[in-house]
Amino acid sequence: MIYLELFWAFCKIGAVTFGGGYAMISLIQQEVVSRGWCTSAEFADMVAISQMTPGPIALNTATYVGKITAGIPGALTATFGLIFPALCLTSLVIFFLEQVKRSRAAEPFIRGIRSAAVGLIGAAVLFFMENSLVDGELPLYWKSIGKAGSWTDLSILWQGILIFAVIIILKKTINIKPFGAILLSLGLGAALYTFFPL
Amino acid sequence: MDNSSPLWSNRPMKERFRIYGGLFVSFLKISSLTLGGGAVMLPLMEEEFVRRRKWIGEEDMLDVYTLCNTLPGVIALNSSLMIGRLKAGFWGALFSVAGVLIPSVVIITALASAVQLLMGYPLVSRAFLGVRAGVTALLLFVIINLSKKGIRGGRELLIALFAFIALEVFQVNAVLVVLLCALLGGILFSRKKRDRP
Repeated sequence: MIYLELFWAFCKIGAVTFGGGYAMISLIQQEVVSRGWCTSAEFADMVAISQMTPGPIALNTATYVGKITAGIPGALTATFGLIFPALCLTSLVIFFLEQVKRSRAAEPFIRGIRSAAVGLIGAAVLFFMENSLVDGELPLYWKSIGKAGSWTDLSILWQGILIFAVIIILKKTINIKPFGAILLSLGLGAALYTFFPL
Repeated sequence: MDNSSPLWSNRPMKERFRIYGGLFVSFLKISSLTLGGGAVMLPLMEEEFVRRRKWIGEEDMLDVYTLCNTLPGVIALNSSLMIGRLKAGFWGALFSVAGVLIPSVVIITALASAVQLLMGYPLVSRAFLGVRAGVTALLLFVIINLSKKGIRGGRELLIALFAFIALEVFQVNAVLVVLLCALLGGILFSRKKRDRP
């Protein structure tokens, strides 16, 4: 049943991620693309839109996936699945606030997960590079690493590199906000790919 | 909370609903006006509940910060739950969480249908070809900032690399990767400095 699947997929993600939304992107991508709920390209669009709209990015992405998979009930199920484990745990922790604050037992495990977040976001960076800075997927999977031509077949998309560079420069100089950055990339994408089609 | 105030359960109904409504409206406002999630919302919550409404003490707010960094899940939701619970018990928590959830769920649900329709137009799908490059740039800044804060030594770097390679090269299930990294952290970080000679 699709609602149970949606709930379970997002429940798992909500239970294991610490320290905010960006680390969740790689986890959500793997869950939803491998289940065939959306394509990689659709998922990338969703993340972009989630960054432009108010509210936490992981929550927005979950709602979005639920909506396109199973309509409004799906959106509510996915959202509830994502927040359910944290809500339970947080409610529980409030009762034992003092003990939890003094206890240091969980600290090393949480440090491990926080370090993992850097690797998870690294994977998300590669995911967004694919089909935007280079025209295809990076052959990092161990079965394809040694294959002849797997790297040389990739060519660079200069339109994407240009947009990438513009956002980097604006972020460095005027610290452009995500909303402005996404809006600008949408505009630049529409213009560049209209005048210089793939 | 003020210790001299009467027990929460003894307060008149009218006052309780005024507080539930206040929590709901404040969180609705914060959630619908902020782009960027929990890290951006926490300072706004502090402004609203500690300084403007004076419902939450400085120290309680500090607890909220600490716990949100040690609990899994979405930061904005965990913190709204805690603030609501601290101020007005179970129902306070419920109204606060609803306030955070409603704007983002409503906006995204509406947008999802609109975008699916618009994707039929070539200009829109071309625009979305460009957006991936922009997101790559934004994520690069996220990862640089996070590394500056989070990667303080070789052990952190080792775990980050392990997670990255497991995901990209061996395509291990991502939930499993996180659990393995927690275990690795437990092994690598559990020796305390003061235990060393």
